[in-house]
Amino acid sequence: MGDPIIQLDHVFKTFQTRSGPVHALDDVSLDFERGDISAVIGQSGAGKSTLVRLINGLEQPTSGTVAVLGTDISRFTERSLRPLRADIGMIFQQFNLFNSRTVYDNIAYPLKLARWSKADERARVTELLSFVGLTERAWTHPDQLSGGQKQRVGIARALATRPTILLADESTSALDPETTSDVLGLLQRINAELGVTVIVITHEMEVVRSIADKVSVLEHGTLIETGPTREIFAHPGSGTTRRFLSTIIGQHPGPRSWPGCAPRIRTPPWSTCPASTPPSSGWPWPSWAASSGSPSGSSTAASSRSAAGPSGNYTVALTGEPDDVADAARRLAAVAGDSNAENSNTEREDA
Amino acid sequence: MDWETLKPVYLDAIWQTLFMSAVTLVVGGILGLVLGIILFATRGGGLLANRPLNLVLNVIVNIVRPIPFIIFMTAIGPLTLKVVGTTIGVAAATFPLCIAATFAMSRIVEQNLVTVDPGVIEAARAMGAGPWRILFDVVAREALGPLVLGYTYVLIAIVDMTAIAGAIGGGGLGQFAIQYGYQRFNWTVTLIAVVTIIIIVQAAQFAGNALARKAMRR
Repeated sequence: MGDPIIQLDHVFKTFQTRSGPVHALDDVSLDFERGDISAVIGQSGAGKSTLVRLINGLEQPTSGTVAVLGTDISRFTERSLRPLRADIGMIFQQFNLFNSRTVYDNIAYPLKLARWSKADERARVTELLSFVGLTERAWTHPDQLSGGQKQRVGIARALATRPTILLADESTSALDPETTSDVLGLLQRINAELGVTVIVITHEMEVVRSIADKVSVLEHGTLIETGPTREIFAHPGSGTTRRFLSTIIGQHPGPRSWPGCAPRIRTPPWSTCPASTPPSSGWPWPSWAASSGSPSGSSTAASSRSAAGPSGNYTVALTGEPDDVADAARRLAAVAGDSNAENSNTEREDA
Repeated sequence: MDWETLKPVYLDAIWQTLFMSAVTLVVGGILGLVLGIILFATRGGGLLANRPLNLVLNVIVNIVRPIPFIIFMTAIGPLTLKVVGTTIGVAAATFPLCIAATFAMSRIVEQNLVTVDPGVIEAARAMGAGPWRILFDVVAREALGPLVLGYTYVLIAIVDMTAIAGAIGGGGLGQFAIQYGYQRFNWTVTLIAVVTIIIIVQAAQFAGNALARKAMRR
């Protein structure tokens, strides 16, 4: 399927430390598709920073192969990696700007490395400054910028040589929520307008939710889950993923993002609503379901709107006469269908 | 001895001190920068990590640096004689001065480079910059402000060393103070030499601070 631009095959990475070997990555096999925004999520120490550094050769795997743009780079020397690195931009949590250089010179530095002519360099930097909205700040130094502005300089610098791939290592972790969404919006524009494949490393599910097409979950150096964001959100296969999801449960879709459905999904997700106690208003339980004669049941709901569209879980367990259950299921399906036909997914399991 | 006779000797001594200091600052400064960068780069996990070379250089630097300059200067006398042709005079003093300054400067350079954020070095690597480019373009440049202060510190140590060199035939204000002040019990001459050295040091520190402020933009 697809067109993998980066392929990790049975990658192990072990660091020798004073307190013994540390297995940062433990048999990770993972593909990243061209043109996607892919996220790798994991707690600190899960190995995600090591993983992203394999892609531009800042780290080499202990064993296994890393193929980037069709070339196995896992045994490349530092020298032979240099041309590849011009084709892979990277941004960092702490921005890592050159404080001794102006904003302009920061962005121009990769072009100097690539030996662009002065005229081309000027044109490219000017274009990038306007792309990230920092034209007026060209001649200031990084220490005079806010965190969000610094990261935009970092992004412009990473894009200077028109790379195919952009690696974002915790690029919004040092930013406040509003600035975070600006930077994420910029990453989305880079992906959509410039066709750059973006790999986002993060520990924040919110980042995954807002921009990622695909998500991979790392834990203790092992890949525990990978797939389209919407699927992972709808069917988290592991406790870790569920814990990550639980960090963004407060963010239900507003009425505008999920018409017809949002007002009703105010339940704390993952909690159950026993049908024997009539749900208070606002619970995602149709009023008819609580009336006598209907099947009793319980429901869980979780929802979120990700880059891949709104997604959520609404699980209902019904007990009662088979006909009543079937009727109730049909009516529930209709409700789900009304609210969001495309993304609803009704499964029936007769018990 | 009247001042009219001493004056040309005094002015000559100032000139000699400034000359020795300037040459030592430039030569020792450049060699010290290179040695300091190599010390920094060859450290474990460094850009050009090379443990054996790092160990050897460290041992050499640690042997040379603690030797008091007056002893160092006489100890390398034979080498000075081979290179300069004499062990007396300004040129003969400048040679050991340059060597001592190189080693002193190398440590200060290394110390300042270590403080550069490793993240910035990683960013440069990620852009495809080679190690030598990173060392001069990024690391040395990012550390420029503290480096200028380091150079100022070393310059003052150099002025001090020129005075010591003067005591054993090196010329300059040190020799002036010893020969015409100390040895002739002329406290005025000694005092004049002292005040002159203080003025030179103050001017150097003032200029160094101003340059460092400019480099650091604060």
